[in-house]
Amino acid sequence: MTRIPSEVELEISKFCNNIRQHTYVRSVDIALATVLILKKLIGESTWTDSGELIQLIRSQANRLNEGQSIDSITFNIIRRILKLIREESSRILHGRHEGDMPLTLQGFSETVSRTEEKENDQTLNQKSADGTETDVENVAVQKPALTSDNVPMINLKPELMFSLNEYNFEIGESGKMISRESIQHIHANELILTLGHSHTVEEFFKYAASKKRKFQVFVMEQAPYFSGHIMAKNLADLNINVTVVTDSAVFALMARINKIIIGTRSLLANGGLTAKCGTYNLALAAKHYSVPLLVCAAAYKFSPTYLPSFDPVMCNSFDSPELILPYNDRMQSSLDVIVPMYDYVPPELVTLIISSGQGNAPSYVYRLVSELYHADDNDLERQNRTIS
Amino acid sequence: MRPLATNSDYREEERLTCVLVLDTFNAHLNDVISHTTLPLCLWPIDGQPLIDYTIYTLIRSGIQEIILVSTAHTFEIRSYMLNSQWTKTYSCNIQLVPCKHARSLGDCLRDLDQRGFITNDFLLLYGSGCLLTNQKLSSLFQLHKDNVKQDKNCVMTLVYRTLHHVEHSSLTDDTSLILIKDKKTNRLYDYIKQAFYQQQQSNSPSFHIPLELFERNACLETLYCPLDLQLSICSPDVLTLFSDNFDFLTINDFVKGVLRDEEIAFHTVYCHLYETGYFLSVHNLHLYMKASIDIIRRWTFPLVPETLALLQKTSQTISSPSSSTISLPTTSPVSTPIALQTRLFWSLYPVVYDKRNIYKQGVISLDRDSHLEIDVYIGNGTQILSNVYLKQTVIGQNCKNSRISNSIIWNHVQIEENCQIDSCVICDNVLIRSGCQLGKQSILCKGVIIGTKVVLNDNTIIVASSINTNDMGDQDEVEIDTEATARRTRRTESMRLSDKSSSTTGTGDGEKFCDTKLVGQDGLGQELLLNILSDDDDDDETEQEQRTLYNAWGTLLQRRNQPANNGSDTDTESDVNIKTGNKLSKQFASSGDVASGDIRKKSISSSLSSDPNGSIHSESATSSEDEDADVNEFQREVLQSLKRGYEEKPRVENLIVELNMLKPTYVVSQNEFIQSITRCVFLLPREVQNKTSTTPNYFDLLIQTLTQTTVPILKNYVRLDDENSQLLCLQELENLCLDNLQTLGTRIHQILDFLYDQDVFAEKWILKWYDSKKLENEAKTTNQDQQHQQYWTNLKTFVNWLKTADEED
Repeated sequence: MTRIPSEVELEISKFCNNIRQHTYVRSVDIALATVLILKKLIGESTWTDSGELIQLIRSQANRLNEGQSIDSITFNIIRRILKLIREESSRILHGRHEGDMPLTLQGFSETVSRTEEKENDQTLNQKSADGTETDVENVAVQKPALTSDNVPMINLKPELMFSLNEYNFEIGESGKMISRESIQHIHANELILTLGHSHTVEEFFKYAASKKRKFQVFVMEQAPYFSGHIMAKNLADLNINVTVVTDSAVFALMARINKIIIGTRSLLANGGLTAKCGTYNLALAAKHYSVPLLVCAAAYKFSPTYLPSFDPVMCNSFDSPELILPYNDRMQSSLDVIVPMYDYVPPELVTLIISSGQGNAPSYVYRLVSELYHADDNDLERQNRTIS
Repeated sequence: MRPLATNSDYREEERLTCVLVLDTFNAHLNDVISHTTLPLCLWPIDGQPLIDYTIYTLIRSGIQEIILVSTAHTFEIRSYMLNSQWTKTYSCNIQLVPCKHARSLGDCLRDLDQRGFITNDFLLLYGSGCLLTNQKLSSLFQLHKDNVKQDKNCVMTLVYRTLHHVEHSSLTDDTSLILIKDKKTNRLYDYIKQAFYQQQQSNSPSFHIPLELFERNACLETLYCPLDLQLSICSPDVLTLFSDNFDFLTINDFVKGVLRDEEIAFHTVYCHLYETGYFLSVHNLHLYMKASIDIIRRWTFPLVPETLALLQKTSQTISSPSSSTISLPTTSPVSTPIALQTRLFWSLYPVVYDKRNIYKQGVISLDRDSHLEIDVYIGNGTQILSNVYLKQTVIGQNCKNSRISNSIIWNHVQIEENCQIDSCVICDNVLIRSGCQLGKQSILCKGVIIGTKVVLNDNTIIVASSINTNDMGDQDEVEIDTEATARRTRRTESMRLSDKSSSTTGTGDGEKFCDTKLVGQDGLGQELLLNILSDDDDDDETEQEQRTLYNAWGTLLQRRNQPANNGSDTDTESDVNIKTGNKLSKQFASSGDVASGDIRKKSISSSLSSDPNGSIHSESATSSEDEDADVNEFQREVLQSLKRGYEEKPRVENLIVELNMLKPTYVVSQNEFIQSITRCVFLLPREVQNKTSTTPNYFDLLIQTLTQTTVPILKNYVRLDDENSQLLCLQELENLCLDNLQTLGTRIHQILDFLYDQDVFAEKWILKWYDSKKLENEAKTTNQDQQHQQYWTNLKTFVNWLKTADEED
């Protein structure tokens, strides 16, 4: 059994603490912190070979994800890193030239961003072709590598650290990568609708504004959190023409809107979203008026899981009623108040998903997910549950 | 396994400490608690022990050190904490400090001060130590620091939550208060506790604000009934202040004291008001039920059952290979450790949230015809049969159910069909047979069986007749238990009378407990009466008074007699004596301390001397044969001398001379002289207490007086080589003990040990005396109540110890 040194234990509990305290404001912060924790875990704990390391990380996965849902960023990052470990070990085992494919894949989004000028569909075809190949290979190759679980630490560790650093950089840049797309999507004098506050979307608009694109933004205030107010303020500071509208006005407004750009909490394997409450509303209205709904989502938001249930309650979490009914109200103990935090938006209502470097249709998400993560890791959350 | 390494780099400047005092010091509630074998902090709230919610909050707030101060049930709390995730997973350093003899918050804090744990500012959670909140408390430290920066004399910042409605359901009688504070700086100027009570009693809903306050040019703000979070941030000075002032029992006393002595000590108190966020300090049953429902209704988000269950589950799977070795006990757990382990297993199942706030833990079987209305939590393994209607109910594990609303049901409860249960707490292993109706606010303690078609009145508390007094090394708990049984079984005439005269909640009547009448032919259990002030526990009446002012639901009890309330003077204690009935010759000296609303009542039972100032407290009537007035008078004189000796501390030789002088003045024999001296020595602490109205523990005071003055005197008169005087003294001590079982009797071994150490008593005389007693003791023990038995067992253990110690020598 592998041991985790006490410093790393400490780091992990600190991380859990921070998650619990909601110290991380942006999703990218959580992503980076998770990578950092895993780097520490890999770097400082004792393990002999890749198989053991994978076991180690998997054993810690649920603890790291404590209190978050199964489609959380933490799980996604862990899955991605597990995939990196598998790739690296197979590359070491089978020599450089066979490992080239996974390497390209891993630097997938990077290559894409470098070849930004290229035609989109061309890249897509190429990638998908690569993807199928390597996937088949991976399955074939990794079986012996894992059963004999023998890629020793000495060989694996430096390589792994290198790719982890690369991954870290990639996450850090993901917001910027997405925002570069904005020029292609936001055209002059368009009316754009967004919902609430999202750092990714804010950056998206910021980039477009910095390129002297003129456009007008409508921000839905997202009751009862009213994060839309913050968004509107931030955008107004950038001299973007902003209007705040109530959530209920979305249908009335929709006919005038050219485009909807929103963020999301996570992107499920079927292309559906779990996003801020009110998004479903918005998406239905958009569908009715055939307004395109674009979703900005970094790669770490792609989750290989599906909805646990189609019951809208099961995939949601419910906040304190205090947002709607003040605690000092005398009806506090007698009124039922329901405050859902998220909406599930089915993939057919989503037009385009903008992730680092390119746009994809929601129906293509399952492909991306299978490239990002290894199939064995998709049941990460179930692993510990069965033990207990 | 306790991670001692603290994450020091986390917040470098200072270690954030929180002190939780896990006792409500409410005697009624403690009575109920003692019958559930679980301390309040481990009572389940939606599948988790109450304290987990608090610790979760504290860890969320970044608190690095948690100090739990427990007065009772230390064993349970310790074993829970050791087995829980908190000590295993978190670097947060959790310490458990047992304060067994503490009878008030002040005692606990004095104990902490002696231990010297605390050097920084700390969060103090009093009440029950269990605060439910979804806010982070870390900002309070900064807030207090700011207050100190502005005003370096600030020692404490009290925390409240504004409520705009007095009818708010989170307010109970015992938290009501009025604050007068500076609007800008939040400095506290006046603090009036028990506002409701005050109003009801004095018929004049007014209070006066001292004129000086307006002279300070401050902008005053009065707050009527903010929600008391029972939370404060204290400077370490607070502990020393508590140590310096023995009369500070509660925070209320402390704040009053600090405000009163402001001109002398210059200490100030500030307050902070939360405007948003959910807060609830669970310190009575009403709030316990409210907390359960509020959590189900997600007011405490993110502290909701599914999050906490997840938390527990994951850490369990990581940390403890040992957990798998403990087998689940199949049937009703008898001994405490097993019971605790089952409780730990609660958390192992994930909780699923469903529409209408319905939580399902683990595997449950739910009949199609059952109707879950709203706000229901169902524990793992529970069977819900057909035609069951559930609303606002928490059900523990492995229960079978019927028709329930607004209730909390613990583990292993079986409820048969056609029962109606509303607003009840039903503890572990209760069986309710078919057709029962339980009244509102009933409590069924562990192991009770309610027979067929029984209808219980409101506010009934049923306990199982067989209380397993678990002597797991918890002195206080045993005390509570024995006290309770003593109340039920050894019901002396006077107690019965007092009970009749004072029955308040309508349930207390003098009749013998008829189990079958109450709980049915096939039932098991008897009613627990809560409103009896035990007569022989009168060493700390005011304290007792504060402990019994409110019932377990936190509502104010009707007074036995309405104490006359001459509501003018604030600081001087005006003793108004009201006799409650000549038969009892009971005196209630109620000190109408009006500004504080702190009504203290001293019940002094004295059979012979009914002089109005109640200066001598002699229970001699039952014990001694016929002591004439002269001896009484003489005793009084001796007592006065001793008191003076204690207070003014003259040389002991002088005191002895004085006592010798007294002897010829009154006609007393040598034997009577020694008896009187002994009696007075043990009455002295009470006297000192009565005089100064400070009420620390009687026993502590006894030791104090003994060491300071009376040991040399005893030694002088009761010489080691004098058999007669030694035996007389011991005999007199025993008489005293038997008269005051609660305070002296159960501590006999400690007293004897102390006096033996001080060479007052010689070993051979103790042994001889004991031998002479032995025969009659054994004859007596059969029909004696528990406290008597405890007295004898304590005595026996001491003598045995003495013997074995001798052999070792």
